[in-house]
Amino acid sequence: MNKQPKIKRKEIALVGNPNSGKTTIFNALTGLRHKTANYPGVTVEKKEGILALPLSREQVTVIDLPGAYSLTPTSTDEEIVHEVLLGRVVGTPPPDLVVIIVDASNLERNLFFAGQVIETSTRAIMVLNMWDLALKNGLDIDLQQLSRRYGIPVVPAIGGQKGGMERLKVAIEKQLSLEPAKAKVSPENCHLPLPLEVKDMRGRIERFIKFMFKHNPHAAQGEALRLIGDSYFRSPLFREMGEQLKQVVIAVRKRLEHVRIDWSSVEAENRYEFIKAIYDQAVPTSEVKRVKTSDRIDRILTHPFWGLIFFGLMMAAIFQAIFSWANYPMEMISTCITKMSEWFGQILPDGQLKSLAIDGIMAGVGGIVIFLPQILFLFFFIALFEDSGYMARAAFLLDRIMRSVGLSGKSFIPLLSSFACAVPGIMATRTVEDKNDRLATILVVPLMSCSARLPVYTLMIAAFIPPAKILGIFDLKGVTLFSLYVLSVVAGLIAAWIFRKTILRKSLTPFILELPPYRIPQWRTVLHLMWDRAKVFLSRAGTIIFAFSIILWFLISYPRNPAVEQRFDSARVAASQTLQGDELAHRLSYIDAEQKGEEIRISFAGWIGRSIEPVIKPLGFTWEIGIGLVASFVARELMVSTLAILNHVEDKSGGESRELVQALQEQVSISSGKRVYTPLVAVSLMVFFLFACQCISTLAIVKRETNGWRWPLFMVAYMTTLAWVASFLVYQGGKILGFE
Amino acid sequence: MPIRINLNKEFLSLDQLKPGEIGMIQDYKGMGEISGRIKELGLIRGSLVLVKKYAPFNDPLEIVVRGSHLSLRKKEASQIVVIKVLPKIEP
Ligand SMILES: Nc1nc2c(ncn2[C@@H]2O[C@H](COP(=O)(O)OP(=O)(O)OP(=O)(O)O)[C@@H](O)[C@H]2O)c(=O)[nH]1
Ligand SMILES: [Mg+2]
Repeated sequence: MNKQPKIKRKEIALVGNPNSGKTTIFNALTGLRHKTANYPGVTVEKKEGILALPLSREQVTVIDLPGAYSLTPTSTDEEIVHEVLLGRVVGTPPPDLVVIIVDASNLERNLFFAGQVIETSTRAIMVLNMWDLALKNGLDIDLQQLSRRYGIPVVPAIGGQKGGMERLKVAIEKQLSLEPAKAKVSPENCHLPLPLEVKDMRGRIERFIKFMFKHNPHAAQGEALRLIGDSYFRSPLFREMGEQLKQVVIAVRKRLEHVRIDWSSVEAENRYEFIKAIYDQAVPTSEVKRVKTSDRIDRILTHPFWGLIFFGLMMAAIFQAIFSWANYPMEMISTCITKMSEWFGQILPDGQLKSLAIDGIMAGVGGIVIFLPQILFLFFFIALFEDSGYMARAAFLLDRIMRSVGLSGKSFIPLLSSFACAVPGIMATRTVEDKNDRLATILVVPLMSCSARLPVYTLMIAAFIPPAKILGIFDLKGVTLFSLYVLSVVAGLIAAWIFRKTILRKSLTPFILELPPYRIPQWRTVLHLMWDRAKVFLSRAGTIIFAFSIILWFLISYPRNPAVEQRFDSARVAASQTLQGDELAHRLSYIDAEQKGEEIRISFAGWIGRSIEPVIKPLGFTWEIGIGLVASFVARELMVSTLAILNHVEDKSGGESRELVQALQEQVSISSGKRVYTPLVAVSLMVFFLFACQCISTLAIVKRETNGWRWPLFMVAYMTTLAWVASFLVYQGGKILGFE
Repeated sequence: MPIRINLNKEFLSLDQLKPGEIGMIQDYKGMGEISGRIKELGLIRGSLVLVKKYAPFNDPLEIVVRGSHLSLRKKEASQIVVIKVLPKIEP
């Protein structure tokens, strides 16, 4: 049949309303494991996978797309759907087959977008997903009727469950084998006849834009109708074709107003009327039993008062849990690492290699791996939020508060995911419709305290915050951590407010958010998310942290200066001639420590630390901390690695290593002889970490999402300034108040 | 759901409905001023809208349209003109 040589795999695109289960089905078809969750807007980019058709074993490409409510995009993620379906991406024709994933429990609304899609595509299949929910709601959908009315195959499915997927694969294969003309009935069939005036006007726009749809000529007609109703001129066509198209559309609207036609509702009213006729026939049940569980849960969770209280308690509980529950597994890992170090110490011959293995790698990487349990706990809670359906509720509860600083409730989702990591957080802003809302969100996302900062906080808190109870129940250490997070949120909100008042003024787009029904979180989804993050965390430890631990060890251990060694050697000789017994031993260990200190001071790292010391001194940081600060611009966790390596190298003379926490408490600065850390310095350091933009991946993603260097550079500048000023205030203010 | 139209047809904006009340959409204030997205989600003339609840500080509100739960801000809701419709009380 196929005469053309096979150059390219056939392409199948999965589309549908947000949260209708596209990614769930994509994963089932391709065997991949992309993220699914129970809120609209999980997938924000195009993802590809491969499916082997059941009979011919031919391989086809499956494309997962963000969710969309309409082919008139209102946000960046919806624009992607528009581009792909209409085949407007250069070099990529529209997909060979479109699989429309419809939420059967929400059929009417889902059919709106389905209709638009069917009209623009050559081959299509409709999947009635969430079939289980539809049954539970008492809907009795007549599949044959739907299939006949839309002229395409209709397949019921329950997520990725086997039966549905088998049927879907068979349908896909069959559709792909048909000529387009047989695969689908005429494109006119998803709406009612339009009024003559409207048809005329649609034709006028169609002729104007036709040349942009060479691949897909009848897509131009649907697009023309949508441009008429696109009141905010959000379609990418307006950007590409400029004023001219806008003028044509405005003229058309004037004309329609003249004959008393509401151009802004023409398409929606027509389609919903068309749908109603089908719906009434295909879903004959008169009595629709709505599942009431969600409503009952919402009585408390989105209650104007109790909802906020619940939200606050949830957050407090999470931090308390991260801090106290995670302790046990962390101690276990810590013991393992110490045991391993000791074991290495026994089997390796003395010398530089041993030092590198124990002081560099084991200290640097092991120092980070300890924090794995905390990361897992954090992601466990985030996964619960995402998969239960609470995420959208939180956005609903907080919209008003967020708006008072110029963000929107939709910014909540990116901001919350940024507590895990800013990179997915910035991606998630694609669902924020308004351009300025989105930019403001992107700019403050990195202020949210991500999980890479957690090790630094944990270490500092463990070492310097006294174990006290507040109000008899809350642990002071837990409260400190919680306050840091609160501070990061407050700072983020204030920053957003300032940006909205100055550089990112007006915004127009409304806030419309769907609240999906609650669902019991699936343990598999939750575990997958935790597992994925554990992998990311550990592979970072195995790559960047590993490599830089070696580099750091080198920078801290070299260059060596024989003159220094000689000087201390002669001091030792002098001591052994004048002193005896205990006094001598004491003196000798003192000289050892002095020598180590001096060696670090003259090392490369010491040089780096000392050269930035003038800048960080007002913040209470000595040059030893300076080394860590420089390293942490590569990866935040390297702060902890640096401290561990410094401590190890310094301490080598003593043989077995002290606990890092204790070492930090006792560390004295080599140049001044004073303690490096006081509780005040620790707080100042944590505040610095909270605000500083020390993450190259974040900058790279901001550059990509904003198309240029302008915003990432601005971000570094404002965050670094903020970090410095805040630490300065903490440290100098604390000194004045007598905390030193 | 069996419904009975309120006889004294009083035009209200959607945000004037109290939680639990149902309105039928009549019109929008301003031509094309409200986002087309509202209509694409099924809030067209003649649709029934149940106001479910108001968020803290009375904004946004949660509504139910065609079985799906949506959240809208008061600003948009105030542009939607409805008449109140009383659901028949079921025993
Ligand atoms: N009960 C039920 N839940 C389902 C079904 N299919 C998917 N889900 C759940 O629905 C939620 C949304 O699924 P996703 O696959 O993430 O949806 P999506 O369409 O990719 O969503 P976006 O990427 O946000 O557009 C998840 O919590 C799934 O577990 C189904 O058939 N029945
Ligand atoms: Mg998805």
